[in-house]
Amino acid sequence: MISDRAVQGMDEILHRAVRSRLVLHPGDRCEVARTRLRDAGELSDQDFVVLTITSLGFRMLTMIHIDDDQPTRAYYGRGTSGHAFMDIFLEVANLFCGAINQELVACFPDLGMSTPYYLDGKCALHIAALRPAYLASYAIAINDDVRMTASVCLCAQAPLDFTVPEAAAAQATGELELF
Amino acid sequence: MANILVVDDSGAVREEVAGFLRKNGLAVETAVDGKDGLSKLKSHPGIRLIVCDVNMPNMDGLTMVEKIRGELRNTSVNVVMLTTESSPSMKERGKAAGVKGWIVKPFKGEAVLESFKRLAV
Repeated sequence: MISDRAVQGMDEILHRAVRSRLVLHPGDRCEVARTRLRDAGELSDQDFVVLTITSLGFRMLTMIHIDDDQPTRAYYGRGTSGHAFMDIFLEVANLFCGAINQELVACFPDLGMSTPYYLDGKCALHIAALRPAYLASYAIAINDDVRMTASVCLCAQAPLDFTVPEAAAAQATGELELF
Repeated sequence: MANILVVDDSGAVREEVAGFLRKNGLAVETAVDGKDGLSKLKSHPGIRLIVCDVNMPNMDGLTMVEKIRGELRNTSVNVVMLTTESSPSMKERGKAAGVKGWIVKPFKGEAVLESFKRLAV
């Protein structure tokens, strides 16, 4: 139901979004590697951030499991912890998924994106109920000590095939477009 | 008296945008969603520019703009959307509602400061 080139395109978009939005400083080291899909049982003890991108033909959930440890809080949270750190990381996740959305919108003009929210880890037990047509996980390491897992769960209502135009990757951000 | 209203459900974004604008001498009020934004606009008549997210709980940013132009009959306040959304259909809805400009996040203060100053007069 999802073509090979669509899968490849999704993989490339995710890699670019990691490097442009999850990495905060230009000199930081970043490794992104496909990883095995963890069992739902393994995921259920850790809360995670979810965002949804929806079009008429598909729905894509992006789930981010992050280690709530000192290096991660120092990297993203500017020394904050608890609720303040969670709020900051929600916006980081929002920008990350927003970057994916900005590339996909070149192929699917009807896209909409949710606000980011935390889900209880036990919700991961029900991912299979969504009957995903494609599921992939990526292990992300920044400067060796900031670690997270980003998973993509794609549910398609129709055959999905697309190629992301190269120009979409270079879309300008932060500039005011006056109407 | 505040002349810019920053509306975003993310405390981190409110802090970043409002903090930057205040550091540059602008008077800023903040709101946590569209509903709160409408209320703050009513209680702060000096507001000339609203910088607003699209996706928010309770009331989204575009609905807020439609209410400002419709229910409040306020056609003078400038509204700039600051959002991760970049779809043409979303921008068209914004234009139709009376949005003045669109910024795709992340926020880059220096790139928009002069424009904000002009729109906030």
